[in-house]
Amino acid sequence: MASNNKKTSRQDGFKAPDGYFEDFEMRMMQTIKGQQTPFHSIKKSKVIAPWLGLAAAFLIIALVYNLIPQRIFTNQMEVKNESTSIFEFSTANYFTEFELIELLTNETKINFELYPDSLFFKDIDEEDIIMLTSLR
Amino acid sequence: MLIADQEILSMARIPGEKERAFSLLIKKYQQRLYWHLRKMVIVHEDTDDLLQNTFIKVWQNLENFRGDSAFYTWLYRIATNEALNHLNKKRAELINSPEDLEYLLSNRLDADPLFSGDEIESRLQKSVLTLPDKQRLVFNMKYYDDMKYEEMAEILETSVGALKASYFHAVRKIESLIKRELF
Repeated sequence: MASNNKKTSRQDGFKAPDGYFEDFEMRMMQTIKGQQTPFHSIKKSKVIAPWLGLAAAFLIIALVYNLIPQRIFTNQMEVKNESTSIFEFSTANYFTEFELIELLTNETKINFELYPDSLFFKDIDEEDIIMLTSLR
Repeated sequence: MLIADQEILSMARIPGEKERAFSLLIKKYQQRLYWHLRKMVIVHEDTDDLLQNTFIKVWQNLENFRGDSAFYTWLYRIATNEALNHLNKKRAELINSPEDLEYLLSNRLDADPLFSGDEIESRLQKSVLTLPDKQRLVFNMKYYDDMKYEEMAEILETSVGALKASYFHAVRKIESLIKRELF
């Protein structure tokens, strides 16, 4: 990682309010001290029990809603399932996030001119540029 | 002189020393994380909130940090997640608005008393704002923070190749915008 001074001094036009960083440390320390204040301990089971009850009730309702129509209208349900699965196909499933970004940024391709000596290209050498451009 | 991360982490594990270790961590990393977050969310007040959230999460999980990755990688990852979640939330709030987040942030730059960049810096920032969030993140980390691809790969949990490709496309787009004087 580059030196700490380089990072902290670079602001690129942005400024922080005067004294912000001195004040920030103080505020943070006060915040965490506030978090440490003792609180009355409550038994975990007392907190969880009502939620478990609710979850069980929802589960039963969900099962009833899903299973009963399936038993009564078996044929119709199968037809519906087949038709929906056809439209669930998405090309996004076959690409990683960065590949998608690459595809989405293809719009600039037409007007693109390559500037290998650009100041922006950091750690991307000529070989990388050739590799990246030959991918198209 | 800055204390090594490992020393601070060892100190945090000593009973009664966690607060002192945390104070040292804030001193060491607050500025780096602030500028990292600020370039993503632009607005100082939002940056301040996100920086606090980041350090609160660090405080709550300091003992659980197992050292599988470098400490600053872990910090950057928390801050980055905070920034991305914040931007997604802002976008969701603007779903019914005719103006998009990028437009609002771009306008904010012009009116922000805490942005004193010259015309070139302003044009560059506005061009960077047109990039998708994650590509903007990659551009900021490489161009402004001068991070190595290997470090970025660890923070963003992706491959060096993917990052190089992302940075390459970001640069192409920014240069094209600046060349066409769209900003």
